[in-house]
Amino acid sequence: MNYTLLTPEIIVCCTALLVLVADLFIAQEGKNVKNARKLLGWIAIAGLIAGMFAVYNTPDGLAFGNRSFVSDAFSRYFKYLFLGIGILVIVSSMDYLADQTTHHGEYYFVLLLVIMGTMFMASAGELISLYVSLEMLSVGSYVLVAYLRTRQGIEGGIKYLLFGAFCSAVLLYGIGIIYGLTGTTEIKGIGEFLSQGDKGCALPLGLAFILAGFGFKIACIPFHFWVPEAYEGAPTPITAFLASASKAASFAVFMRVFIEGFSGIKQEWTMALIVLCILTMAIGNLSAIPQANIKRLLAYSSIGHAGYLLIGLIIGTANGLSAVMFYLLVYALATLGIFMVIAIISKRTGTDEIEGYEGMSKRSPFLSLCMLICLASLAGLPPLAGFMGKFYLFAYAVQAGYVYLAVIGFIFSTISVYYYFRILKSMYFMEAKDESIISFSPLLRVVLILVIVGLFLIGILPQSFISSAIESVPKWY
Amino acid sequence: MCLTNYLILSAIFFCLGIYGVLVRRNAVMILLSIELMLNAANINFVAFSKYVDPNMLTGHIFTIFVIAIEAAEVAVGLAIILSAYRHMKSINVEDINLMKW
Repeated sequence: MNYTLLTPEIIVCCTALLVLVADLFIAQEGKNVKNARKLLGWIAIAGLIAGMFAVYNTPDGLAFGNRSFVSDAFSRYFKYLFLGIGILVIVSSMDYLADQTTHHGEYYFVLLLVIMGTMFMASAGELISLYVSLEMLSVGSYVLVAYLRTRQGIEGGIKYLLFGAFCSAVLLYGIGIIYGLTGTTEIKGIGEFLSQGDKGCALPLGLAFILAGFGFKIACIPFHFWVPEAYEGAPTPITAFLASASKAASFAVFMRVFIEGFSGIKQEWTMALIVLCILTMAIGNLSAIPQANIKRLLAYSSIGHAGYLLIGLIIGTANGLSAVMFYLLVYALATLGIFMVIAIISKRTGTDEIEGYEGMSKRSPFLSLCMLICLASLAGLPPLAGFMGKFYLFAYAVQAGYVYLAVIGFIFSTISVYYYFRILKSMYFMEAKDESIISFSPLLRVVLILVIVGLFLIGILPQSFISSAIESVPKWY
Repeated sequence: MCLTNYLILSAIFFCLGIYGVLVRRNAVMILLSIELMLNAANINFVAFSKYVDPNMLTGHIFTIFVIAIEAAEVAVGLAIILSAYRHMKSINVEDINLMKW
């Protein structure tokens, strides 16, 4: 037993409880009410920063003697990512929800618990803790999507809930089959059992069910129906969280289960993943083209990005996994930048339609420039981080003999430039109907500048980032 | 009693659950059908625990966790369905369709 390994999670959990208690004591009305609400956000940010320091000081090891909580370089890489995403999401929420009158404490409380769920997912080396942490993320996300209680929000929440509960039941049934075949729920033990070549005939069924459950969480075709609705209806900072942290956490467990557990039977699932990957890239990117709502457009684009990420899993080598981890970092950074800009603009203009962005370059040149850089990074244009992410992913695919996947990925990322450009066209080349200047706090400006600097830094000097990703890939082979 | 009987029972429950999800249009009934699927998985876990892995009780422990999580999920689910009813005066999933699928 080594509970000190849990320090980052304990810090985040205590911060969540602290926020909930602090909510009882802060001013609910009067002159200071806005500052009092911001205080909750600052407590949450302080907790997440403390969590980052705790992650830095966490050694390798097993917390409970078995593999239900594994602390290794892989989990630490993802925990940094989730805590960083959490900080940016909370900064964005503090502005976006400033006029919301009730339930601030609950919002930050649930958000912190969901972040804790993603951290446990990164550490789960065993199917029970994996399922529990996955549900910690899911159930909290249902609440957050429906948080604003607008009609869209509730509709998104209800679809996310029903589809999510259905897929988690399917996942659980698949886990049951795998448990029955192997007699263990430890992913490492499953891997050892399956590599001995003694396989039951129910194995493909169990694999397919588990794939469906994870496919739902990473939002790949054909389990994507909830994505546009939930992304459109959720408060914009939560959309950013779903698109980045939720996806990254799901990829972390996906990699652990499929590479550590199922790599002995790789030939059984590679073909299914290739089909899913190509369909996801194609349908995600093509469906994004006609969208009029910017959050729906980015929802389909995030489906497309899940397709690119699947290429790394299909490669399945240490190089492929490090490319996935690196891509998740650059994708999360650009996505957070875009959704922060969207949150600022939609709060002030009241619309998420692309038409509402007409003439934005005159109303706020800074926000338009941020949007331009982040979209260019998502599309994979050099010298930005997104280019390096795609470069490593496609280069390793070619190296591993999946040339056609790299070619298809390249074609669809070229198509994605077209629909990203539609947003930019609206911002830069259309006349504004309303010329009022969009103003926002210096804090958001500083954070957005940091995001942009990060995108350029990773794009120009990717070596240290990709090597930290490579060092974080465990020896699963 | 052999393991197969339990597995057939759970497969029947699981299929009934899927049928319910696909056919029912009432959100509460869909949630109920999903519960049926989860409980089918629970039957599997307990049966496997007894026949495949009798010394460790992993399956029993898994089932206890799943029951607790189910309760949390249903609590959140019913809360969201309730607020949907307040907005739209209906919990038929075909009426809850402002945004296209």
